[in-house]
Amino acid sequence: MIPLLLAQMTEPRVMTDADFWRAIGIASTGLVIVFTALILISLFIASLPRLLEQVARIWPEVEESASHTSHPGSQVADNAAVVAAIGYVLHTEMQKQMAAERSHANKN
Amino acid sequence: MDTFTEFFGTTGFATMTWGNAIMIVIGIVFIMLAIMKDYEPLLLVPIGMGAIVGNIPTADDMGLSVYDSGSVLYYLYFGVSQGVYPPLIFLGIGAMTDFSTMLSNPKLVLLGAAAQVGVFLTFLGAIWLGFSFQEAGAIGIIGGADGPTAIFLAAKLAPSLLGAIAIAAYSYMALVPVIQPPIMRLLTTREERLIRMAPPRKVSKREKMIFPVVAFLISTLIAPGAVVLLGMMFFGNLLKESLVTDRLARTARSAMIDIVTILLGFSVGASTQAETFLTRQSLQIFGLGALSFAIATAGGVLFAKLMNLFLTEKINPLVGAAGVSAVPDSARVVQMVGQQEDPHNFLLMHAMAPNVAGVVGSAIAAGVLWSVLT
Repeated sequence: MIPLLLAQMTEPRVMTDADFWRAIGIASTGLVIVFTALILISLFIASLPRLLEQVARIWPEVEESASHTSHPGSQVADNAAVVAAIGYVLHTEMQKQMAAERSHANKN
Repeated sequence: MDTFTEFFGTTGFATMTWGNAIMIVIGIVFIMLAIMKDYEPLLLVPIGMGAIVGNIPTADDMGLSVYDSGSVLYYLYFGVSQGVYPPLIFLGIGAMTDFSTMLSNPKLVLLGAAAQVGVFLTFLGAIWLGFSFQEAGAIGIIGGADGPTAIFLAAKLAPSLLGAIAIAAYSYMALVPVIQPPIMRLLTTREERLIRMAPPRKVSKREKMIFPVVAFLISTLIAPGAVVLLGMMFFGNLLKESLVTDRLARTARSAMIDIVTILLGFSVGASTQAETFLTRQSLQIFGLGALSFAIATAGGVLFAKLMNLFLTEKINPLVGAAGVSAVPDSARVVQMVGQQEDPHNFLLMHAMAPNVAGVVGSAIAAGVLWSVLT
């Protein structure tokens, strides 16, 4: 029963030569168009950093542009992250300094 | 007593067919898969419930189904049948997509194109099985692994197959973690799966802002049929990256996409009435859908291997499987399969590049098929 059903389901239709070649034409052209579009996008992305370097000479990128966001919430979250990062760096630097002072005192 | 007998004749118990019962069970299975296995719950729960609702038999003169003009479900389904919901979902997808990984490694974009081989080979397979050119185009796009694109194209080219195509597309998207890994392992060696890729470079804000506008122009000037889907997606991305419309971007990627997903999932589910869904054609569509996913995965992996013949900095070929644009599921599968070989190899970020390129690629493929077949 099941093999019969599968055989019925996968039974190919009689296709004319014109239909066959039209189908092949659509499939191959479609694939070529997709590749062309994505290759062009890829080339554009690859050239973008160099392009922006030239633009930056006339119109330098402003790093603090994030502060113009219309979402005040993200500003708060960024500030918290910045404070945490500054705190971590200060802590690390102070520990390094204390370790250096200790080793200096031990030598003396 | 006559009134009772007459009323009983109109109840679901009296008019229920075997087909309706099977569809209700399928709806329950979808809901169970979503809850118990966590397979695409945001889609399978609305679709499953919709299938149950759509298969409660009602008297013909009551006009309650999605196909009865003027019914509530008809209006909800209008967004599907006229292709309104998919572009709105694309707006949300654009507003939540970060193209940084793609911008930092542009060669990975090609893997998103290679995976579209699944679309066009399935198109040929559907024609071989006796579907018309329009129907074959709509079935082929299942291989793009993109539910909204599949619904959009089916609504335009083969509205009678829309329910089966939508269910096939979303079911296989949910089954990406089951379908892809065996194919990925079969087509790669252990050494290839162990390849580590260089971390992506930092992408500037300007690059992210310029990209959606230029990528839209390139892709839609080549394939104008993709203008609605890609227009909305890149517009959503511009809202996110412009940094000045964050409120709009947040709405697009949260409340709006959620509302549209509910309406789309539910009404697609409700359109799967037994008499229109349980047909030989639907079974063929499911078979072709599985095949198209497998071909798309293989296409991406094999193309990555081909690229490696020419590249000095090798690509892990597993990443090619993410060209199937089920975002982010196929990228997660790449990460999972990669970490089974090397727990310290993080491929997720790299896999996101072909994954989002695949979304663009499948929308372009849909645009091409729509232009050529109408």
